[in-house]
Amino acid sequence: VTFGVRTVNQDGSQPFPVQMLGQVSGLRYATAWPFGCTTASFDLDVPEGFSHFALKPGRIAEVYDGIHRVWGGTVQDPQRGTPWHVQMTGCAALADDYQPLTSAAVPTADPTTAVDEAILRGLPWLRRAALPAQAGAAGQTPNSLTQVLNDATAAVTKRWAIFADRQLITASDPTTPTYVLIAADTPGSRTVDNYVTDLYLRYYDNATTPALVKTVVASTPYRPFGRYERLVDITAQGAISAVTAQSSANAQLAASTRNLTYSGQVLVQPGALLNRGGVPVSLSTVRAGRMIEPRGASQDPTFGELYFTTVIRWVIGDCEYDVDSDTLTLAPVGAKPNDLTSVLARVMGSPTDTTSSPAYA
Amino acid sequence: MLGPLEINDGNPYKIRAGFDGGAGQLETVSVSRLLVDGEVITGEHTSNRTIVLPITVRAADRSSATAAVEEIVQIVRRDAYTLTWTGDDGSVTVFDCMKGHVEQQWDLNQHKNGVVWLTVTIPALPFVHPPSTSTVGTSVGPTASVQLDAFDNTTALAHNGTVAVQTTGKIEGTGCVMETVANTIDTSATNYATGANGETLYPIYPYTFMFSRALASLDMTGLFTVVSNWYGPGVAYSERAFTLRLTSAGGWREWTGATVQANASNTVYTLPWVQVLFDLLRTPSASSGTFNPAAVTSYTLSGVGGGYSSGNGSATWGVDDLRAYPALAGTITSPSTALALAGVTGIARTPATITVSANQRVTTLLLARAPNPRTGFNPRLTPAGTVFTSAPNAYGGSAVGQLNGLGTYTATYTAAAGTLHGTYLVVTRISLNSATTDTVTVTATVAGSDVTESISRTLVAGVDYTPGPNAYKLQVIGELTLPPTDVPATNYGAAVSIAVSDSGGPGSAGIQHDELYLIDMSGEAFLLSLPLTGTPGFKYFQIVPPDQSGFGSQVFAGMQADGSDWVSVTAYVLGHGAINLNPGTASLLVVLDNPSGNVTSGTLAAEFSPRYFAGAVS
Repeated sequence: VTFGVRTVNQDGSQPFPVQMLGQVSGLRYATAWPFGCTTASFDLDVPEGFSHFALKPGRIAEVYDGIHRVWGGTVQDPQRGTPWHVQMTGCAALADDYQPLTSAAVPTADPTTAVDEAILRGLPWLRRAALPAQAGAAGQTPNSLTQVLNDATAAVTKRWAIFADRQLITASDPTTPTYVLIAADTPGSRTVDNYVTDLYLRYYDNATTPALVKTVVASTPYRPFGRYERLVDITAQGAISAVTAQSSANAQLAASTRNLTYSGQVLVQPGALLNRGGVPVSLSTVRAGRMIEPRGASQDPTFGELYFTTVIRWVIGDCEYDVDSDTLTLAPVGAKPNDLTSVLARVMGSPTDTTSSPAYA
Repeated sequence: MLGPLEINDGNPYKIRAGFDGGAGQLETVSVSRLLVDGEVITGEHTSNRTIVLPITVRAADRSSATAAVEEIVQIVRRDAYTLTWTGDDGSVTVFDCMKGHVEQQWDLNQHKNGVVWLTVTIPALPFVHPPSTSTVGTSVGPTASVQLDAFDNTTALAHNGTVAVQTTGKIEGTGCVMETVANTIDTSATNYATGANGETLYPIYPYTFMFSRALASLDMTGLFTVVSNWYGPGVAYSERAFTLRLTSAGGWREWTGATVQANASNTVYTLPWVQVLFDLLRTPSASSGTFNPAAVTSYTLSGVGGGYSSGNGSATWGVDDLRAYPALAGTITSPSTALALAGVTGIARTPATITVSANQRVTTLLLARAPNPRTGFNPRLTPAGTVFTSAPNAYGGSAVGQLNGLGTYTATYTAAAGTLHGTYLVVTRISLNSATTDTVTVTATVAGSDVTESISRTLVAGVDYTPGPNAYKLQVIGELTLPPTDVPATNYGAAVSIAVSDSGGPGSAGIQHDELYLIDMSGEAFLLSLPLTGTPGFKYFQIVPPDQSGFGSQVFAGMQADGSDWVSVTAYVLGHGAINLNPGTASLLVVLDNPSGNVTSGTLAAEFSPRYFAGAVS
């Protein structure tokens, strides 16, 4: 197994494979669902006084396993030292550095317009699939592309991500497993932290002028673990209809009540992750957003699943691969952190959190 | 520059007792399971050895001894150097060393007499090798020509004229959606003989494609009623996009028509010609054949549009103008070779300087090594079943255009389940004429199982490929863990079907697949992709592995065999930049490609120094 890191200017010029400069070691890369590629880092054995354009911050960085591009982002922070330590940030984080604007530089909350215009201005993404419609009313002034995408996907129970191919995708959580995990570990215990049964959504109602603040509630009728109420404020999205507000509330509740979250993460060693037909999967190719069906772990379903007869499955929320040890660290979607605001900001993106950005724990 | 230093001849260096040559350490991972006792030990990487070299310097005086010490220190502190050990039997073993350190036992009296005791500690690469190198090589390139079919619709077969293969279905309008009608074709229809009028169906391997044109007409009588205030009084108006799907035993072909307009005065609409390909003749030596419309077991016609409709309509399907695709005389030359490179001595994976030559300029050079392939594993698959492909340069614009409207196109490859075990990267060779995007989906299934593995990737014109009639390019689609469901040894022969489908849609004509490569993710792969500007590509390539300092890994290319014009093309390497060899026989996939695929011969030579654990074996 041979890994390499290739960097290239954001305009596609001056490609260079970093491992040609010196020994690359300690390579790790991570993906999350949502957001796709999040962070990666490696050590580079070059002299402290070394300099090369391939390590310039802001260059597009691609991690290859053989010839398979498994991670994509930008060079973030090359720290001189012996060895150098080079940190990279996934492409999704660039959304924080681009304003959601129309071609006339007017703020927009429409994801398609905002993304396409940002790409024209230099955002190194590719968009080949349709995006959800904008959430909320016209005339909003969202303060980052991240917020626009978070709001729009949250309203339709989707998540957005950019993986190694730099293509922006939006998708719902998968419902069929990609992998079977022969567990040597569990993702920790089940916890009622972050669990929601009744979601109150506060919004501006456009039925009246001026618009009044109203609240809709989305509830699950099934509360085996008790009642857990949460308030989400989307007044920043402007005046919307009651129907839209209810739809948004339903979508956000759906993303929060699948089952109880886990409190930990799981370490996966070679040979422990299989495809559904029982063939070992190369761990370097695993990424967040795919579903896992663990086998052999003690995960009493009555402690966490809404439907006891369901086979336990979870969607990978955080996925980090360590090249040197050939091990994966996985955490289910919603496994961390431990309060709803953080969950929405990290996993879903809080519509109300105007500073929301891909947060990498 | 320091020359070689002899350190055991007593002039002035002598190795004293306490020498330790060290040993490479295999790094292992212990994998445990919750429900199974014991742990599995895995690991491939071997870490460095540490050499301890106690050296006594015996020189004439203090200054001579000091100079000798300084010389040792200079060498030991280099980034990279070698230590050569000549055994009693004359065998020579080379250690690849890196920055070490020197300790001196201080004794001023002895120093005055020219005697200094040093202990030199040297980290070295884990495996040792002889000073000489060996070279294994072979010819690469098209090991076999593959006769493939090309489009040529110039030969009309016996029949011309519409035949009433007709059926009437009920088309019910509900609101704005016209429902699908599905009917069985009249199987009493006339057979269309080929070869009857002296046309020749060429003996083609693997398959002959039959070409027909299917006519569908749609009678919309009664479908549209005048509705007040719907697009204006007195006019019922509908715009519908129609999809016609014809299903035969071999699968189905679908055509999505342009928008059809119908109104009260135009209730019968004849759909445009639909061009349908059937792979009815599967006998390699067939010289004639029969096309029977009955092969079309059913069709569906569906549409969704605006407007209001109700009532029943009917649809008619017929066949006209049967044509064949005879083979062109040309053959396609596969750019790839699956290679078993024998004669690699040593006991560990071996860095090698690999030199590749080709008789035409190469813009894409792919090398892949499967570390421990299962018996029968073939990284290079050729398509079976229906595939539209041709010799490069052999198809023209009009023929390619006939692919328009066929929508999704699928090429199917097969491999034996027992030859696969693990995660493989799927690489296809695709030419796309005019599509702006093309989503390639690869799905694998094992005969007898409904568990599938699937991966897809959207290729983007201008980013992933340059559209054009001869724009072959290797495309990495993604990884599949194969077989999708494991099989016991008793069923190793089970067929794994790997279907590659394109959905570039109408206008994406010229999608062509030649080959599919399975790159073992537990192995190594090298991909050089040169930009296609100017006169792209080179005929000679050399991949130089990194030395023990980590530097020096380079890829050179040029047009002269002697290397006199070679320059580094390292910047265009994707992924890692070197390939190791397996001891024994290295299983290599070699692809020498350019957009027109005209490389017809080449060579590959690997120069290596065999790797050993304790000492070079002669």
